[in-house]
Amino acid sequence: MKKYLKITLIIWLLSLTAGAQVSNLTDKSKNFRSIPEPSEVFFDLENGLKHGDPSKFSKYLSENSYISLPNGVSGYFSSNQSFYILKDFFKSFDPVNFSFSQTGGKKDPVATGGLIYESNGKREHAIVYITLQYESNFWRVTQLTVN
Amino acid sequence: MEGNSTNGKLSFASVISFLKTHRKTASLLSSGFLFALLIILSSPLPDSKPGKLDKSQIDEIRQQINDRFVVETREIEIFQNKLIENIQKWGVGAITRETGDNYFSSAVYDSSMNFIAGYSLLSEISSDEFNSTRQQKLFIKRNAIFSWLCSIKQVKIKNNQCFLISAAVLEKNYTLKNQYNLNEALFDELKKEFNVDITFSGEKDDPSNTLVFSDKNKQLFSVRLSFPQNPVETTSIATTLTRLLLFLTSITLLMSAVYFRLISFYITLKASSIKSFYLPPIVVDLFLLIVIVLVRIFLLEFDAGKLLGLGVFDNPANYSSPFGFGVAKSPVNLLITAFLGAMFAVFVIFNHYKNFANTHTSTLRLIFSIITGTAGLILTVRALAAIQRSIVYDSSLRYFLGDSIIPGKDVTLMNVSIVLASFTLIALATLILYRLIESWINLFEKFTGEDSRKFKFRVINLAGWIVPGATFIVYFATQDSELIPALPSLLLMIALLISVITFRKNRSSIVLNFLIISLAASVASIILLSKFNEDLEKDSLKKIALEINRPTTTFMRFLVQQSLSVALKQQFNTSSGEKELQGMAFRIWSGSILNGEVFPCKITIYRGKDKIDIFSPFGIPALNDFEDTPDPTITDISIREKEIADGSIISGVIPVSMDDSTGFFTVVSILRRDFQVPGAGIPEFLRPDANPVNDIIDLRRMSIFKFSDNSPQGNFGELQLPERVLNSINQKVSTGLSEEMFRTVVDGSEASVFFSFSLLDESEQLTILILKDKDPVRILFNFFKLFFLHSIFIFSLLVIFILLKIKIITSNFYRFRFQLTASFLVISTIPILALGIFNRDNQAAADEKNRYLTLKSRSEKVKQMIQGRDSSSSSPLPMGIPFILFKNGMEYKISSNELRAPLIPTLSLQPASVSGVVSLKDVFLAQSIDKYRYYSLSRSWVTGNDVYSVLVNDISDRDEQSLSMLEFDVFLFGVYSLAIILTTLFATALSGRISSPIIKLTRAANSVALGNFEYEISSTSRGEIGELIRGFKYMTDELRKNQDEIALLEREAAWKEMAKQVAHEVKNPLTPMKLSVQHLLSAQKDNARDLPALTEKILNSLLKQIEILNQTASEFSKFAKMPGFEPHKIEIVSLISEVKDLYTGSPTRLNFSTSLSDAIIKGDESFFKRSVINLIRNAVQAGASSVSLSLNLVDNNYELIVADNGKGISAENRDKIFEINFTTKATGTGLGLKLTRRFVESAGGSIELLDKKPGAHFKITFPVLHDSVNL
Repeated sequence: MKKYLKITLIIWLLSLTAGAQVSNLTDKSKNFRSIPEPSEVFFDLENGLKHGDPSKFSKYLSENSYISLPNGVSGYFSSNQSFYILKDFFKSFDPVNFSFSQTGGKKDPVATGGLIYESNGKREHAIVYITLQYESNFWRVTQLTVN
Repeated sequence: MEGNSTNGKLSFASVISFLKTHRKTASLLSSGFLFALLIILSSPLPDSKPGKLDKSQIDEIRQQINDRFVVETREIEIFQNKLIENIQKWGVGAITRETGDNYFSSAVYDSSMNFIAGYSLLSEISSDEFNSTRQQKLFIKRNAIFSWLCSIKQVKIKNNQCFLISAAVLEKNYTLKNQYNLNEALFDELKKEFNVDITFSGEKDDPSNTLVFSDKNKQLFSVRLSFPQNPVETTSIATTLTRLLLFLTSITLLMSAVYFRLISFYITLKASSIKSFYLPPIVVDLFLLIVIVLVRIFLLEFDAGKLLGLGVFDNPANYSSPFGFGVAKSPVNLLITAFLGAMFAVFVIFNHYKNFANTHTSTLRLIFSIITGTAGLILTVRALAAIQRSIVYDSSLRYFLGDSIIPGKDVTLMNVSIVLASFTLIALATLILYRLIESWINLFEKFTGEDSRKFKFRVINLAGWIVPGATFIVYFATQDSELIPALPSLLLMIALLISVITFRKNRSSIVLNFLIISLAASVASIILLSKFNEDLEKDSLKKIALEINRPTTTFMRFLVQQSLSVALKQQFNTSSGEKELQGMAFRIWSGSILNGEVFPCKITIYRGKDKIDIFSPFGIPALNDFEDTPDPTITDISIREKEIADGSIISGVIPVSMDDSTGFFTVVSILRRDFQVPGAGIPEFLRPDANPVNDIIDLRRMSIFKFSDNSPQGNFGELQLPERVLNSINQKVSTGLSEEMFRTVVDGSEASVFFSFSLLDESEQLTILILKDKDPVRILFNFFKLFFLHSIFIFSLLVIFILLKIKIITSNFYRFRFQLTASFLVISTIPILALGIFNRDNQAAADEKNRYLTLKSRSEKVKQMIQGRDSSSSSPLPMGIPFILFKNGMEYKISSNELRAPLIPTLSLQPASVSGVVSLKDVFLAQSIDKYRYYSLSRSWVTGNDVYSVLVNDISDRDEQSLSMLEFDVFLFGVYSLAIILTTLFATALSGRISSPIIKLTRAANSVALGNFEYEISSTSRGEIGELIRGFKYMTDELRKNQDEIALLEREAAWKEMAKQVAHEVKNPLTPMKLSVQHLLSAQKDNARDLPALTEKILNSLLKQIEILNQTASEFSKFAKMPGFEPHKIEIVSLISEVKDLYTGSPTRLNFSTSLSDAIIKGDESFFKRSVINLIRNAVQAGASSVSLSLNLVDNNYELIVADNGKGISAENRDKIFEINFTTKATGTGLGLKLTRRFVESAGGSIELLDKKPGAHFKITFPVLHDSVNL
């Protein structure tokens, strides 16, 4: 019994060690099956912003995204930080509706739209400005401004 | 006694004592506690979606908000009364002491309503307003930016009737999107606390949503409450209480676990309570670990950061990256984890010292230890790097290039977390590596059968390098690591090895080892921090390139449009006064997206074509000259773009109110400047306060080059762009590459180059950034800057350990080593501290003096300008200095609107000529607006009959502050911290070195006194101490020789005496026996008649003599018997420890392990110790380098195993060792083991030689003697 326990422990520790290496490799190779068009990215962004769910578009966030929000957040953030910042933002700024009013630009796509949200019991309106940039064979959000 | 209650009072110890003796009660209580905990855990938390608030909930919130306002008015009154007392005591100058950073602001007016002293914003109260409100105690003062709740009281100053106004900010109509924003206004607090929106009420509000506040039956003001539709947080009180309860429960659990762990170290339990109360260390450790995990879950799941008032740490901008494996999701998370981890590491180390395991283990177990240890080491080192990278690389909190030596609370705690995490991991890594090395030694010994000091040294060296080396190779064989690069890894390993070596050397000094570990942890974390900061700098090049290319025409138009939409939401009223309208532009800016951006912009408010208000945060001349007067006929938004010399201006206008024929217009203008022209200074987006990223960029090492459609557009920095680098980049761009970072040599220095190519506004934009590598001085500076912070942690740790071991320290107070260490520390630390304090004070005084002189020079300029101009002129003074000028206590002139002096609340003292209550002297004060700190100077002078006062400050000088002085400060403190820590270490080491031979001599003398002449002192000391040791050795050798000789002589003499006595005693009966036999022979020859009777008589006589001989033999036998002993209760754990202590410092390593706190048997102390010493001496004489003693309770018997790694006992001798006179040693007596067995058996026990290798293994058993037994 003790022997099996020891073997299990060794395998567990070694797999943890190996897993530690693999996690980095997988982190680095965020490959996507197909390269979506900017319009597809904007569709996912619209969907995510409408429902206050950043996970719907977090895969498009750049490692250097400029985020500016009405709650005072302003600056460059990594994709991971951006995800948590947006998640935190939607906790107190509950979206009621969102749609892009205009999207454009083939080489440097830009979209603007109106976001209706509730905060502290009041319904507010904000303008959203998003830019995409072609990075590592993929369209990434480089700027997301809500005000 | 500790456990007893004294004087009827209940003490913690008495409770524990009670629980020990009443186990059933304890069991019931603990069950009840756990049950209550389960109920709390299983009870549902307040529903997060409770639906709309009902009337009672709304009433409750209304009531609570109302109560808060009442409290606020009372607090103002209390504050005012105290201030009046101080003013009457010290004069009006007291107002500067009582306000400043205070929550309340105050101002003093004289009886003619002239402003005398106080916050400049309160000077806005006009005499009309004052007259209309002077009879009231409370009133509201509002302008575009603030609303104040004010209170007036009369006060007499130097026989003048004056009025004191104190005010608390009710609301701030702005939010700064930068690090200095502070929400301290009452409305902000209430909004946050009750999750309702509070605004001043209009006249047509629903009364159920309005709160009316009155003073003396007169309505002061009313506020409108907007309740949320979905009140997630409105039941915050219940939630907070539940969370608080859980928090307290988890902390109680943690403390209980720690207490149980501590008692297993420090409290000696009685044998009778062992079974009922004692928990094995492994169980306690497991319990502690589980509790630590539970506490962590509790704290994290229930927003511990907010609960503990550390809300800032839950800022998602500081969340960790995936590198932390989810260990740290926020700084609070990391802090808690690191703290609990450090606690666990401390206990693990304590445990290691307490139960040093028997090193004689099986080969399989050794191999298992090595494999698991190596895997554990890789994981531990990786976790260290991962956590640091998570925090440094993926958080907005930066420290390296901050402008203050003492960082803010958030950055400090962040660094404390880092050093705690490092401590945890280095402590565990040290222990793992130490155990690995021990395992290597044992494994080698098992395979080679070799055992010598030289061999061990070789193995330690080999293991010490192979283990981390293998870790290193395995790690890099699997990936091209971006987590731990080569050089930091190597340095990390060196720090770890030093820690392990000192750990091995100082086996008995826990405090010293912890100090070394924390020092290694600090160094290791700084190395990694430095490396990651360098990576971050390189990464920031990408951000700068993005920032340069962000202001596209589309984006600028969006900014204008969005800012204009904010203007539409403002309340413009034609009846609004000038003061109310002033600041409207600022309010629009703060509510727009421009707040948080650094583009030069200007917001102007017009009534018709009349300019009312203007706000231009960066005061750019190009924008000041830009004519933006609106066309009053426009009815909708209008945006235009105008090309200028170095860029373009995008300007938009919108009509915001059409109440009357003139109407209000808002104009927003933004400068989109072409990239920086040479020599224009730091670009706006690189200013340190413009973006958190900028804190980590050292602008002195960076250059930027911008090209648009292949032609240079501008550059920044001192470096030149080499032609070859540009050609190389162009070549890469032509192959389709849009961005890349590479290394090259620029101006003879190694540098990182990053380029970014993009198509913006239909033109090709190429941005090239060059960052020169850090010079060693900068690296050293960063090291000391961080080390200063870490040293606070190291010293705190040292103090905690000293307090924990205070009893030991006080008992050792008079010991030579302690006094020597203390002397060294005092002598060496005092000058360092004195020098540090002296330099720090000098530095602070010089810094303050510089600031004062700068402000004085500015105020002089304003004074000269005033005196040189026509005093009746109302035109602004174009000198670029923000100021406010008072004439006889009335606001007279202010600097231009762009400098925005009126927005800055400033403390001032006005020497009003009428009252003369304030003297003409300079008032130099440190002040703050929100979290932004600055200095201000108020100077007054008399011209004719008028008294002028000017207020100047250095609020806009942040960039110009001398960084070199701060750098010097940081460097100095870092060096002093390191010096003190190194002094502590050196003092300890040096005193140890000096006192070590004396301590060894003392132990040796004690050992010799107990008859252990084999004791050897290993010392290489020279001088007097060396001579003393050699003399001692010579004396011991002589004593041993003499003792041997004396013993031999004594034995001979005893034998001779014995022979004499035996001969004498035997002779005594032999003579009569001989005579009797001769008499019998004679009678037989003569054929005597009475021969039978005579024979009988003689034979009887012979028998008597033989009996005498027998008695004599018995007497001799009795005489030869060893002296006996009186059996009594003895405690053998302490006796074994005493014997072990005799061998401290001996080349033979002695380990004693037991899970028992005490063990009582029947026996004799002296014989017991002699027996154990006998076995140890035999082991030493058999060449053993280590002897392990382990005592355990087995089947109601104490089992003592004495095992050594000497040459052992051959098979043929195994049966003879307990025989008398048997010895294999030249000088042996053959009595030792015989006597040991005799003692053991006399105590009711047994001794046997086990069939184990290597060396000899003796098992001795003693029956347990219970307390109840009386002897």
